[in-house]
Amino acid sequence: MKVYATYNIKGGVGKTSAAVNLAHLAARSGYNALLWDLDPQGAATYLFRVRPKVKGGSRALVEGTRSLDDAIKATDFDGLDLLPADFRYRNMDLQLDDMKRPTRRIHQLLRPLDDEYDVVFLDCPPSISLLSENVLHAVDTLLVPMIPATLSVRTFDQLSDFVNDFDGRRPRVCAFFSMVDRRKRLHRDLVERLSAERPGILSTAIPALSIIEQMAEQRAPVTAFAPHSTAAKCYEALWREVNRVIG
Amino acid sequence: MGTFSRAFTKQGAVEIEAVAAALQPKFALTAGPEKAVSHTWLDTFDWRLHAAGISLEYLDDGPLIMQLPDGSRLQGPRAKKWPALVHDLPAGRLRDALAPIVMPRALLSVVTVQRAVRDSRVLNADEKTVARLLTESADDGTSRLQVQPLRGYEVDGDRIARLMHRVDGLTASTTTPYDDALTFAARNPSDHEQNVTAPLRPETPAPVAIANMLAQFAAAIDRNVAGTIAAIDTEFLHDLRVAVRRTRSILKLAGDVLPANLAERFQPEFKWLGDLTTPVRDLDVYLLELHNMAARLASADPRELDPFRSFLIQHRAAERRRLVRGLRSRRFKQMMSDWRAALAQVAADGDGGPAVSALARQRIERAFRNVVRRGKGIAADSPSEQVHELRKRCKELRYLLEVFRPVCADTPHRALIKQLKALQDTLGDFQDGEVQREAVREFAAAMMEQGAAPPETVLAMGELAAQLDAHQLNARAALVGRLRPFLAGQNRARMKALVRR
Repeated sequence: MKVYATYNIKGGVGKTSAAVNLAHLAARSGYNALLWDLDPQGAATYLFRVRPKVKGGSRALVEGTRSLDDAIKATDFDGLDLLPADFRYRNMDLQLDDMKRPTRRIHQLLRPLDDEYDVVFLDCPPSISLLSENVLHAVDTLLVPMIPATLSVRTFDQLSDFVNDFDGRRPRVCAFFSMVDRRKRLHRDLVERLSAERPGILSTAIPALSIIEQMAEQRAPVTAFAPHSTAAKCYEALWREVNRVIG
Repeated sequence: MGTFSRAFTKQGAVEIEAVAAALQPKFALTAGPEKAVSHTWLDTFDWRLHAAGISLEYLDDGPLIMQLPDGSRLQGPRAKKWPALVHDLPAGRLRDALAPIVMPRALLSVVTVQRAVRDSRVLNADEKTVARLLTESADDGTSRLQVQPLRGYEVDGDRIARLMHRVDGLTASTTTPYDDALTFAARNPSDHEQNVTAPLRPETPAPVAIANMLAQFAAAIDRNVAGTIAAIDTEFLHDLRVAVRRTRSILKLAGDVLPANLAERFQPEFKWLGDLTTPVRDLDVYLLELHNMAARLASADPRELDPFRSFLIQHRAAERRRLVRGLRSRRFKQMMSDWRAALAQVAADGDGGPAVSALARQRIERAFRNVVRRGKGIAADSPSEQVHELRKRCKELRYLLEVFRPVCADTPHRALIKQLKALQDTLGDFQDGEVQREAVREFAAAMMEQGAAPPETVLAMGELAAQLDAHQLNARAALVGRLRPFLAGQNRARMKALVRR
């Protein structure tokens, strides 16, 4: 089972869109895929028309009184299941802190799913917290969407340093540009320069397109409702590149 | 799982509008298009999947789908062609789930039916799909409807199933789609079950009962010939040999009740058949076991046994050619046809001779006495030949207990079989250890003669022989302990109660 997380300290950078579309593509190519919507706002859960509720909330999951397996819902797409968000996830940091090995809990919780899923995506809330540290311990690959701006790049550098100083198994960090507006010169320049300069930045970029915003109206991944669109093709290219890079 | 059936049948087509109306107002139906598909089911020759309540199927050129009794499904890629052994399937969860049930048998295509299918979705108030409704219509005018709730929506699945009970003409199905399809198959599981249990009544005249029993074994031989020749899997030959061994034992132990020197006439023929099948089966056993034996090597690298494996495969190919020639020979065909005709004649002649219960009692008691006599003479340091003699007598007793089971009382029979089985396992370990060790030595000598044995392979085979030696020593140490309870007075009492007078 390979575990990916879409993660960034900043919000509104396209984490959920990436998680939803990549998970759908993984399932479409024959993998058994699970998406865990860890963000209490529940955007991914909303997109799949699943009610944002887990019996017992995050406490039950973190403390193990309810297994992840029990809380999983199938989406409308073959091979893709969802572990829904719950507004009580906002307290997850406190609950994790009460556990014995507070930074490894998510990793432990995912382990029993190893027989069931080939690929797991964690859609993370924008923050740097105990939950983020748990995510770093649990994943093989961290997918970091970035808006092309000098400050985003600075944040990426901070994140890379944090991972490099990490004790134990380090996840691979794969950043990619997201919400790229080709009409903006700064965007074009930064994408070209940084993709060439930085080894951790993928060459595929996801453009800012209104069809991606339409996901909330259609309540489906763009790769499902508009499989021939430019946006869908970009996500396909991104998934191919991620697979190629991690081997 | 719900208390309501989620599978339904109907005479005539399922009207999708009636189904949609029944779901209102809580659910909405999005009907998929109707498609003509060819639906194929797979199973092993001895119906292992059917017996486990599992169906393994594919539609057109779609993936393999495994449906488990609890309603869960696993999906995976198909093998390139059928029949296929489990390791011919691409690695994955489906293969892992099938392996313990199916191995070492091959998966065969059992039946293919043409169906018109429709995959529809049931949506809740949030327009989320909560279940699939699969409808299938067959050429004979019957239709099936199945409610498949999505994961996490089992409660909705039950609600939908309850609503389906109200649709006119739909009745809860008592069979699976696999069961229904099997009515179109050339073979089916009930044939197999009838063949393994011979109807035997205590008052049946012994010659008739023995002839019927032998006819069942002859049918088992016939059933496994084609699969052995086609090399579908190693179990065909194994089952054929079991039937031959049973035939030979019954001829030896009870053949005297058959008229016209039948036993004397056919004993040499079945010995020929048994001998014909032995070399390939022995090589099958080595090849099946080699992986495990190699894994236990401590000093040598398991890969050093690769030339040994190649030698066995080569050797097996030559022996198989001989076996196939024998099974296709006029001698074999004539022998089996004469044998079936002779047995049918005995069964048709009917009356005469003692009742089978009297014969069973007499022969089982005699076989038990033989085991006890041989067993008493066994000590921890007894020569191997004595142990092998005991093993043969135990086998004879086991065959008699099995074939006469219908005229035996259940409780003592079960207890005797349990203890005998434990004793036979130890005796089997002892025998296998010795025979295999000798065979490994002979193979090593033959390989060296042919220049097919690099020194590291010979060394690894030496370690293998030492392992088998140790295995035999362990079995020898356990033997006396296993014998003691079997020889105890309690089993004599069980023998007395076994076949009522």
